[in-house]
Amino acid sequence: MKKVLALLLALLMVSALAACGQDGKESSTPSSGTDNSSISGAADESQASTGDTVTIRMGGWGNFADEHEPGTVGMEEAIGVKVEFQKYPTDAAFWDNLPAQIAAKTAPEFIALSNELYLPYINDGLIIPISKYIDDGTITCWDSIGDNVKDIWTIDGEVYGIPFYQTPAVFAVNMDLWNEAGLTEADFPETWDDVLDVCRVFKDELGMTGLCFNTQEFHFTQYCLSFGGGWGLGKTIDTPENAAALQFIINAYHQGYVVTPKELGVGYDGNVVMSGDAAMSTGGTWYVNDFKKNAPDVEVKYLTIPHAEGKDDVSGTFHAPCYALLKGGAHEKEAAMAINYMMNDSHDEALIDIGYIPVNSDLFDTFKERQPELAGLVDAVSKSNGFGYPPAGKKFADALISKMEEALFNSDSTVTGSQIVKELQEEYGE
Amino acid sequence: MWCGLPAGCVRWGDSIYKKGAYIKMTADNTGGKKKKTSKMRRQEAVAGWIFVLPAVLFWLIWFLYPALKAISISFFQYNYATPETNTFIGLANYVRLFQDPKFFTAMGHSFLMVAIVVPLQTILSFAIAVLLNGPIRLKGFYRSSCYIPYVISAMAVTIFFMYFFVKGGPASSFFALLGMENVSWFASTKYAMAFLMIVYVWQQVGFYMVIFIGALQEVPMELYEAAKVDGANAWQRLTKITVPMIKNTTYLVLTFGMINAFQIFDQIAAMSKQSPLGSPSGATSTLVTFLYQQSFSYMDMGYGSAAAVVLFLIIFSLSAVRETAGRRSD
Repeated sequence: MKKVLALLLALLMVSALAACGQDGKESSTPSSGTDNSSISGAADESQASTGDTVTIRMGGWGNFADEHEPGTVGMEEAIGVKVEFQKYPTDAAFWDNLPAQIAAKTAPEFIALSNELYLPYINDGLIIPISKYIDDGTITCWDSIGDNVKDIWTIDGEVYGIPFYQTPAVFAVNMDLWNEAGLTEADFPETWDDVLDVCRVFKDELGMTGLCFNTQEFHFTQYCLSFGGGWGLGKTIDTPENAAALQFIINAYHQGYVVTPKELGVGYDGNVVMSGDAAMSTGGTWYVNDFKKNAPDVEVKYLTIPHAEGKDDVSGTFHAPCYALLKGGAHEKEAAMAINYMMNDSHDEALIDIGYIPVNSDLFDTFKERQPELAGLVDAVSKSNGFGYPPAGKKFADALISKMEEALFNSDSTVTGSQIVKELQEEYGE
Repeated sequence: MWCGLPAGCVRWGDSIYKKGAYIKMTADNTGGKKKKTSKMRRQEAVAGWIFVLPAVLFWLIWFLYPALKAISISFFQYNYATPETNTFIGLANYVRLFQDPKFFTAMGHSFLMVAIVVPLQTILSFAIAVLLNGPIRLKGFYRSSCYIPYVISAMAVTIFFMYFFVKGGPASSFFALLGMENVSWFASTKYAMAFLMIVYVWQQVGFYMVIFIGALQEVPMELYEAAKVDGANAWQRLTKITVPMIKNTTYLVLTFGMINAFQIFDQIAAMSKQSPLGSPSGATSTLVTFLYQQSFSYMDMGYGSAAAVVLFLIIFSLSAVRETAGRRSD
């Protein structure tokens, strides 16, 4: 009897352990950095179609409610595909978790992806070409997309993503502080030297730092491009323009004209402009929606990125995020259908409302009408550039940030912009 | 209590154990019950194995298998998203590791962390435990207050501390009075590691305090009373009675402390925010952040696994050294 009881008890414990294991498998996705509870068990759900509906998942980071959900309205009824969202807290969490999820076959079928550090993931085969679905007519929106954004996602003749909006980088100005410092619209800076002049005014008049600089590769790249430089996919890291851009940041910081979000304990430059710790920052049109929601009382002007003296024809970067298919998705065709559906007019209009320029040039006038404050950015699109990071992608970005942090956050540092670009060229240049 | 057994012996089933060896109860010393006892022993052994089976399975699946897998991956150029490209490269990852200055920087930071944090938290937690083990009012409240930081999320604690150590904040302003720079400590390449240590020690002390209090309560009061009668003062009682009597607990605290300090991660992630782990400029990089970055951020799992194996060997070796030293001093 004792033996039977012991056996039963042990069996119970083993089955409990097995159940824990199954649970762990299902919940592994959220615990690895995602925060959408609705995804639990979605993989199973997608396999067991309910009627004609197939449930798939879309992954990404950022503002899903405004940027992606409007595109899926009516999708289930129209094409029999339901999209669930798997949101990652940051882009770093997204990229850190995605390869493991692909290996474990728990990754979403498609993702929203920016045109920044994407190359290694394409080279490694994590993102698969979508061209065949354009060729077979599953994706019909491709022809209505502007060539400039098409080019970004066409690599070696293969299309890897369907871009859903475009936006040049912006130079955001907190007008409340601007007016408080006695500045007018006539003082809006066109060059980086103008920015320094304005910073002096902020320091003298309000005793504050004028410029926010976030130590992120995105922002470094704005400066480099607007000084006439750029990374050139690793071919042009060590150039006088890039060195001058980085040196400009280092000098301005040590002169007390720049504050970084990092030293304020926040991660996002928009927060610094919202809180009034700085009056200006390089950023993107995502500020429009962020400010509307989180700081509706703060008046912000969006200017084109200033440029270096004598470099009137250059600007900052150009964002064109896309929807892309992930390797190993169980419903590749349905994901392509969903992507095509999401490129609908009402989605375009929802994106215009939050400040994003549509990829279809026919809608440019609508954008200018609905976003008069941002109308000037439409013309800046042609002057803007892709990010052009070297193939090392994140490794390069981390090295750039690390070297610049040494130059900025070590008060004894003698590191110069020239040294940094030289070292980066040696380590990551092509 | 006398129970019919020789001194130092323990009965377990039909066997008698003495100092690790058991005295088998044969037909001669049991009165001819060999067959029965053998069957019972077998039954008990089976039952014992069945009871430990879940734990053993758990250990095999979740600990041993991943550890062996990590060791095997460390000999490969390994990308788990593209397994078809994985190739065996022998010791190349280890060779690369020992030529990588970033690895040595991370290792140096890990050792620095252990060298400063472990003694500091051990002394502090011991001191607090001694204070809170004495006859003071609101003892329970103070004990809970000290323990609470340990159960709060490390991320939350770090962010909370950042507001104290931000440029112009109360803590950084205070230290500026002592001649240090008034900067945001967590963003300074000079002070970030010190900030990390402060946050870490503040959070861990409560846990070790509880362990020490448990040990202090096991020390017989008679020893203190006898020492008092012999004229020993408080310091002498502490150093000559308390410290030796809780020696084993101190070893445990040192070992746990060392292992945990080597594995610090959450606080660093919170400090780094959206910058690379170990920010600013690698000032807080450790072996764990190094292996995480290599494995997950850069998808170089083989290289990251090699770093993980080295970390395991370091912790294992230091634990073994401590164990040996502890035994010798016994």
